[in-house]
Amino acid sequence: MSAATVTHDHSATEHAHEHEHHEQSFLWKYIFSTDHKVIGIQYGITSMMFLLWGFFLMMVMRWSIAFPGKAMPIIGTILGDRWAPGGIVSPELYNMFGAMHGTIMVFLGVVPLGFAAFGNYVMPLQIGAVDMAFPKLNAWSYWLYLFGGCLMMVSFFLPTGAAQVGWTNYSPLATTAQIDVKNIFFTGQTQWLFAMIFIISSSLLGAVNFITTILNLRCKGMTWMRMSFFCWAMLVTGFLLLLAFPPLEVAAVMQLSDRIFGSSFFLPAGLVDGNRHLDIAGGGSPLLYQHLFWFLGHPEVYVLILPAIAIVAEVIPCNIRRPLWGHKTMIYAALVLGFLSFIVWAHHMYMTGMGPVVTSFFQITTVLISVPSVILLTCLMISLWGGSIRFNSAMLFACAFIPMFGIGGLTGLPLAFSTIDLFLHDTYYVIGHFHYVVAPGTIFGLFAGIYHWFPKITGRFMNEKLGRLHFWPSLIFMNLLFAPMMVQGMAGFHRRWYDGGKAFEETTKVSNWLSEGWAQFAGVFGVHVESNMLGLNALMSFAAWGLAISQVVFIINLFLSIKGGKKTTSDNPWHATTLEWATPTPPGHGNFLVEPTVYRDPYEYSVPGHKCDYQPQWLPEGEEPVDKLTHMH
Amino acid sequence: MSHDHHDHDSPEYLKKQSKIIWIVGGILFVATGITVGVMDLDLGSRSMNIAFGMLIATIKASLVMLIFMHLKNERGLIYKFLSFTIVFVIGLFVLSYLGFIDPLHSNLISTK
Amino acid sequence: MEIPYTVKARPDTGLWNAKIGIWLFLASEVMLFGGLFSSYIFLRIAPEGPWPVQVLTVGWGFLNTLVLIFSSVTVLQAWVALKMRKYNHFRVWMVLTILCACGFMAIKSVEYYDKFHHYGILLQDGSNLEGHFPKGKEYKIKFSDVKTVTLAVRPNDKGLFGLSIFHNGSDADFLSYIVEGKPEFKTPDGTILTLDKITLKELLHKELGKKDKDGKPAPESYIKLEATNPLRFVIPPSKLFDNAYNASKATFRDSTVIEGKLESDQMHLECDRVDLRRLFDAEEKSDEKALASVQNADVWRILGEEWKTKFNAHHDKVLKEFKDKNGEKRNPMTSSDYVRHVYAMKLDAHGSEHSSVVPAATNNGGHKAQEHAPKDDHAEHATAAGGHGHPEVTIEKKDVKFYSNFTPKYGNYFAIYFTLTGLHGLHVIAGALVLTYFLLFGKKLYDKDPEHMANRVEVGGLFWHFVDLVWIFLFPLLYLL
Ligand code: HEM
Ligand SMILES: [Cu+2]
Repeated sequence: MSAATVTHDHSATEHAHEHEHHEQSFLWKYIFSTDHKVIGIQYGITSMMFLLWGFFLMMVMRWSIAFPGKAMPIIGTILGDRWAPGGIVSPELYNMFGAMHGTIMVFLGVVPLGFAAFGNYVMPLQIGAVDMAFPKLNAWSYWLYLFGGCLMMVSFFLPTGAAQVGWTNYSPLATTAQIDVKNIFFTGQTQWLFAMIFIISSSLLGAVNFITTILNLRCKGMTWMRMSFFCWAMLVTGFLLLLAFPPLEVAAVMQLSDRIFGSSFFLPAGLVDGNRHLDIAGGGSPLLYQHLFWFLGHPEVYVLILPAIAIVAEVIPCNIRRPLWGHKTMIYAALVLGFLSFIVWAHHMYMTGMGPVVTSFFQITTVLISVPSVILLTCLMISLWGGSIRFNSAMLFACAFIPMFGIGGLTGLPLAFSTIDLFLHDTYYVIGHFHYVVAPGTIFGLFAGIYHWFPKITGRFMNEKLGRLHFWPSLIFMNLLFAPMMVQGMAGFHRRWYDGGKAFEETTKVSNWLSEGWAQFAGVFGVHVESNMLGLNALMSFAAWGLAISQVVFIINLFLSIKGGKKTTSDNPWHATTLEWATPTPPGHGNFLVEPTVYRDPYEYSVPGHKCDYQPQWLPEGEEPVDKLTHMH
Repeated sequence: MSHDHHDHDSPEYLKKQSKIIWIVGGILFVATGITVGVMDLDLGSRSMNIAFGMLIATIKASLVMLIFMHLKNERGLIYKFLSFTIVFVIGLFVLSYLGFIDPLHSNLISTK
Repeated sequence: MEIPYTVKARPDTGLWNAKIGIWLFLASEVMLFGGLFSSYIFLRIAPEGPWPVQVLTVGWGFLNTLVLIFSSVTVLQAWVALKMRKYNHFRVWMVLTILCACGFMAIKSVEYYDKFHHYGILLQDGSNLEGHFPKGKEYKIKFSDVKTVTLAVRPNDKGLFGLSIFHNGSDADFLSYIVEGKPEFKTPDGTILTLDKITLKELLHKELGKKDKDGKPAPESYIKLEATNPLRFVIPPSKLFDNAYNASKATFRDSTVIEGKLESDQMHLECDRVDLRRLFDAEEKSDEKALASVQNADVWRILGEEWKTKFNAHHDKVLKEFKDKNGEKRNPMTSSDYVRHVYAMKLDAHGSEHSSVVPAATNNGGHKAQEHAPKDDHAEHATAAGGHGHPEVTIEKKDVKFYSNFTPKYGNYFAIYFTLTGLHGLHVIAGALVLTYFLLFGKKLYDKDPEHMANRVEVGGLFWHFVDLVWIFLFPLLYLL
């Protein structure tokens, strides 16, 4: 260790502190901890459970789409007679699962996993901080999130069931649904709003904490441009959450007022529900809700994708042993992306009858925002050029991320034009578009992150064989699941048909090579599938269940590796350059044994003129990395 | 604040500060009185009254921000993210306003 | 382990952690209230009916503004005191600040209470009456001669997996609205039961346990109870589904149905204002036309022709004043103040003269002053003069299109008013709690590191100023403009 690194000043009081921590009970150490790493893991576990639950909901929906009117084996009976009479998924159940699938995946699954879990665990380590700036607040955000999530879950067990009007929860439907009840508080729609208020508050606190930490707790030598892209992405994401979420909180409060106090923020006069005139004053505007929702909604999609891009940007340089191409460009692209994402929201509202001026404005900004997205993607792709790629599981997922996110982004472009969106809005095309971005995109990025940082968290590697067995089927099934959606969508399939379109005669009249080919293929196995577009439903559903099975491999891998994975022999097993690898494995409370100092840029791989092919950030000039790093156990 | 840290912690400075706070408080009291006083002035139309009332409120708010919240001698970083916030708020106002009333349409687009 | 820069500023950013944190938080608060203010704009652009202007008591709002500004000053003085290491001074200023917060909330409560008891009744033709329900004559729905009560049992109203944490279907609520007669019923199987909470529960449970022939609970069933003696119900409207009653039947929110005879369905109102602005187009530019269109308004039938005469005199007077002031050229209908002063007329013992001088609604809270005003001779026709010197009228429910007290339900003005001030109030409470915490538990930290304590108070103060700042906009927006 060089003399330039200031050793930690262990004053007497600090020793006393440390002592206290050692005597902490399990409860305080792992449950009510304020350590950013523990909170990160809490977030991780919780959000993965929500992801699983959200996935389960989707599988039930896919049954109803592929085999409408047929009883679902086993699960159908478990769901209960009210929701699945005779085991057949009812339209109500489909709506409920659809709404909750979206809500859970976006607000309880991906954002907490990508931003809160990875951000919490990795970001303070990467900037060389001892913890978050406000550790207690950090714990509060987790508990608020958990409470909101539980409220959401509880709503499944109300007599009305959970919310049923889509993850966007548009008024007036969201306001008038489930109001003929004894107590309006105990309805899924109302609980959705309460839960959202908690989740949003949690995100706001989290965002404040993240940004402050990045601004103020960077270690010595960690200048802005020496900061890894991951931390930059966290900074931008933090701002997106901080400034975009409040309007949705407002919308939630106003919708609550509409439901509970009978106001009409989002309700026009003379509204009729069923055959009943609602007893309201009217004068509100459903469009106002949409504006407030999408003001969050669009930045939110970048909250979903940025952490994933950022993880991939960490995994790639490390596994190709070359610097990230265009680190600075990527940072600026992310900043521009963050800025622009606040002014594109109404591209979700082309069909609401906005005038030509605003529509043009939002078309232009939407097309503009694809530029920084493309820049990010291109930088990642160019980075790969000429590298000697180490294809471990993390890298496989990171590599797959690039084309998958690419497809997702490219399919977004047509939607950006109002005239095309006229035909594609609310069809399966839109579903295909954003699922390409969030499922094989974001989720793959998150998987890459898990495989990559697992050795730091547990001191063991995940099983590479199982990793491959996880990756390849996932990739194939993802594409079988989402590509046909685009085809169906262009044929006009609406996104919310609980029977997959069976009720409409028109759906049986369109077919193309894909649907015909699939029917023939299935015929080989003796399965009869219609050769029209409707037949694709079964393909996608089988793909979805296949995808589920591939995730079982991952879960098994996770549990096996925690206890029985191959042990790491070094604190920096991937020979990476960023600061999180300078900590002991797993990092203790306070993270670094010696206060770290940063001497160089974050991705100094294969720098000419050096013995080693990596120059960690904490390595002083003129020294070469030793594998066994700066501390003894 | 830290650039001339010593000044800002000295008793003389603080005493002066305390006095300024009282004065600004007084100004805000008076401004509130003015706001009430002008509410029924006939300025041509209610919109003018609204504009005028908001103007006074903005001035008051600026005083609170600059003096009470010491934004006047705060660091650039805070200005940076506050200015983004303001830009986005204005974006929210203007763009969704245009979503309701489009300049190329002569009338209010039905929002109902 | 110690987190750096909790007290001292980081050299390159020039800020300590909590300072950054609070400003970021305030930025998100700006977005929060920004969202609300922009909603305010959109709701006001295209309101349903005239947007209420100056219907709150300006005095209270004015007072509250001063209270908040003063508390902003005191919280700063508390901080200065800490900076100068005068802990006792700090305590005094802090106590003052917290008292201000309590005062603010107290005033707010008075205002809210006032609104909850003020009603507006929109008649079928669009004319609107405002006022109070006379004491003891609140609007209730009365059913007499009730012979059957049908309980709804919903055994299958369950959540996912057949699990439920809450039940729909009838409960004992309806029993509390029986005012005459004994709750004694004949059940379908012929037994006579006197119902109270316990026996009713047993009855429902028995039904809940019943299975259909497949062994599954029936989705919904009913228990029809015959009353042994006719019952009379007096029911607050909130206990029924909205407007879910007719001449012979009413449905409670728990789905219980009673059958009987609806007694005369009337509302009584001590009327303090009549608003005729919905009777003509909001863009109406001809005063004569507007005046003509209100001549046959439903309100005159209810208030009596004398009030129409008064109204017309009031109109002429305000018009003359307007012309005196603005000359003949200006069309009075272009002034929303004129339209409001004329067509939203305040009714009180002094009749039209008063309201022509003072803008109709400014005196909204002023009726308190007239509580003991002598009864107005002219008000006799309107049943009887109310206790507040306002005419008391009787309105047939069938003439009513919509009514509500001045709560969010009444219209978007009140909806946004309650949302804005309610959220603001929550902020005041939160801020006051934080400041109270500093006051009570700050000594320890102060002794250890006074600068840290001063920083905390500064952060709390920043939040407090923001709360003040929001109010600075709320006051003119909601009270004055
Ligand atoms: C590259 C640039 C992108 C463009 C030009 C774009 C464009 C669009 C447009 C115009 C729509 C509205 C379609 C409609 O409802 O008719 C849409 C929907 C959507 N996009 Fe994108 N998008 C892009 C990237 C992304 C990314 C990165 C994500 C997320 C991670 C995303 C997630 C979504 C979601 C979730 C929806 C659907 C929301 C809903 O209606 O439920 N998009 N996109
Ligand atoms: Cu979007």
